Parts: sequence; C-alpha cells; structure tokens
Amino acid sequence: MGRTIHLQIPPRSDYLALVRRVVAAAAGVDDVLADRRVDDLSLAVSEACANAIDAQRRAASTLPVEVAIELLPTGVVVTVRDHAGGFAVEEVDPLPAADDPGRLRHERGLGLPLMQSLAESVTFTPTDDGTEVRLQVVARPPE
Amino acid sequence: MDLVVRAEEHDGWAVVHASGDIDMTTAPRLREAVIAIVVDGQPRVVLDLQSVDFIDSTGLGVMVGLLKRTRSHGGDLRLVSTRPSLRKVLELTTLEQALPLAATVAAAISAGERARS
Repeated sequence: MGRTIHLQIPPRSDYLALVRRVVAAAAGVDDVLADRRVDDLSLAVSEACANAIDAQRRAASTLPVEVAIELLPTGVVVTVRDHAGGFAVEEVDPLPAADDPGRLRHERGLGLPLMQSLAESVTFTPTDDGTEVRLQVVARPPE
Repeated sequence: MDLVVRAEEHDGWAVVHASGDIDMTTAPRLREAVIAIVVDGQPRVVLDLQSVDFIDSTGLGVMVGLLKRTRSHGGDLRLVSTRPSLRKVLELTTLEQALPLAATVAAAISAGERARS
C-alpha cells in the first residue's frame, strides 16, 4: 500500500528549495531511500519543477505546479504536472561527450539528461493543458 | 539554503567562496558576481564550492558560461570541491573534463599554472 504526499507550488523558482526539502524529508520516512538516492531524487524533482516553472512562465500561466510524492516499498515515484500547454521531449539534443571540443557550446538543456541519468525511469505524458513528468527512483537499483 | 557569495584575492586570482544552494533562483546572482569581477579586470577566478549543498543544471550552465567568459578575457575558471555529489553531476552532464574539480584553492591555482606552462 503506497502513501502519497501532495504539494502545490506557485510557478516561481524560489519555491524550488521548498520542493527539494519536502521530497528529501518524504523519502527519508521509514528510510525508503538511502541518502545518496535521496540526493538523486531531490535533484531530479528540482529539475522537473524548474522545467515546469520555466514552461509556465513562457506560457504566462499562474496556475500552481502540482507535485505528488508516492512512497512505495520499492522506492519513490514523483509526478510533476504543469499547465504550460505541453512540449516534445524529442526536441532536446543529446549531450556531447566529455572530450568533445564542442562540449562548451551547451550551456542549457542539461536538465533533461540529468533527470534521465538520476532516475530509473522518466516519462513525459501530455495532459489536457500541459505535461506530466513521472520520475521513479528505486530503493535498490540494479548495479 | 540561500546562496551566499564572498570574494577575496589570493596569489593574483580572485577566489569566490559560495555557500548554500545554486539553483534556478540563485545561479544568476553567482553569475553576476563573477562577471563583475571579470569586468573589473580580474579574469582569473577560483570558484570555491566546498560549502555548496546543491547545484542544478542552471548552476552548471552558469559555470560553463563563466568558464568561457573568463577565458575570453585571457583568464580561467577553476572549481574547488571534494563533494562526491558535485563530481557526480559534472560526470552525468559530461562536464568533468571542461570543469575539473580541485581539492583546495591552492591546488586549483597551481593546477591552472601547470596547464598554462
């Protein structure tokens, strides 16, 4: 039986620190995740919320960004819903390799690759008026 | 935790100590602080991140921008931190070669000199 914590934040980046604290505290209940994995989850959720806030600012939406933190025996699933009209994840270019001379041309677009590296799964689902990002961090990932 | 930025001079380098969280909200403040130092005529900057608890993709992007900015003024940007979490995010974003981490401010400065000679 899962337990879910719901959070709604105004679409402003100064609420990101609050989201990270709530996510970290929730994932620490009953030691659902090890500390290192709590850091992974907090950063991944922060990136998802930053994207949501950024998208809503561009869409001029002041509706809250909705965050649901579901604590499961196997790990934590966090969904982040925005009301920004939606976007296509395929539009994001992959990052160049570390030894690629062109690496420094990429200052933006780091958030999605980070989320995809930190979480075991990241899915993007269109909603009626935006996007739902679902992040899963498992308690014991395969080595 | 909110970001606090403090700068001092050390062996001909500007040493910028940051503490707290570097995220979408606070990263622009770090960017402005370092750019002000570069524009002021000191493009050799050590960014001490030892007391930074959290850094997100906006913060990493700001560091890439500052690296290019300092180099375009004939200087360099060197990062200091022994925190595994920072090393990890640099590796995940394939930035570990462009933005290597030194263990101390002195090591960051001497690493820079070695790379130069």
